[in-house]
Amino acid sequence: MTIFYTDPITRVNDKLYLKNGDSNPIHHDVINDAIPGKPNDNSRYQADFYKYFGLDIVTESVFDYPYPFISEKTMRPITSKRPFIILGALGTLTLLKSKGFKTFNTIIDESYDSIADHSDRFDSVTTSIKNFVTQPIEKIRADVESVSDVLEHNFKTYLALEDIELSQLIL
Amino acid sequence: MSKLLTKKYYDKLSSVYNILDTIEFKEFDYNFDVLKDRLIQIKREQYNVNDRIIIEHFDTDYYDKKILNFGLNLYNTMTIIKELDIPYFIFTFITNYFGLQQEIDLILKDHSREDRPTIIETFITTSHYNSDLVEDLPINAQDIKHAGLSMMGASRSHRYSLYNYLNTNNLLDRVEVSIRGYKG
Repeated sequence: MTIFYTDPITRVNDKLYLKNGDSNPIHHDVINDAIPGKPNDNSRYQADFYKYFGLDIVTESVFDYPYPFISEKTMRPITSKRPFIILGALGTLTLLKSKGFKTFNTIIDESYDSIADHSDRFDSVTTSIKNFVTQPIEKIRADVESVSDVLEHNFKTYLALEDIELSQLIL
Repeated sequence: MSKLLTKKYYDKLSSVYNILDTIEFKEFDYNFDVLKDRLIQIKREQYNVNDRIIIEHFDTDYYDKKILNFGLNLYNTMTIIKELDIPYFIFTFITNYFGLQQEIDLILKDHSREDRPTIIETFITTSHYNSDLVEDLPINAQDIKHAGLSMMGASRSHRYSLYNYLNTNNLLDRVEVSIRGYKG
């Protein structure tokens, strides 16, 4: 099991729990020896080390919200050209599609996106995650290759998004 | 000056509006007197049709469906604007929460349809978006060494739930996780 860290943080143990007042932070960089690469100025928007992963499991800022809330966490797999599953509010994938992005229903069960009950949606998301990540790495590589046109489309959509939005903005 | 809007977005708004002030939600969501004082300073007797106060709403809110069907901080904001007798139409909310329009409609359900804020729902912000900094990287699927990654970041209940799911299902050897927790 490898866990790596971003900011001054404290370690997450196998039995995870919050303990307020613990003041023993451990500082780790996001990249460790197992994940070669280097953080850079644009790592907020794009992470070079994503190339070593088959799937980004995005945990959005909120989950049990009534409507989608999109943070930079959802943008990062798009700019880093990797498929993603989003643990977020109902309809988050639908919203991304409305902005011109495509998703990955040919390789991932995305039915979770339309499940309103938060507990049921969590179960559905985690089942999709489990089904994907327990495949052999060779199969995951082939899956990612099979959606390369979607990954390229999403990257181009990201680059054009600001100009498209501004051209459509009615003030 | 805007902190979170991109230059292009701000320039577009400036080309249409006379921006009186730009206020970030995080500046006041723990102390609404800050918002009140700020609005009192910029309050006018009369407003031109293109006068605008920009509210940058890019933070999470508090919900309790037993009490409210909208965010508590949003409700407080709208209440202060009303208390100060400032028309809503001079406000433009820019948000990455794609339900803000519905929530404001609920809060203002008995208010005149002619006096409504403008809502712009977008994730084009300096926090989310910088098309100049990102590179057109190759996909290189053959580089994949790990099945999955989850950059969870700050502690939140759904992230702990996912972490615990991965742990109890022995998936942490398949998914690399980054999370800010507390030492047990």
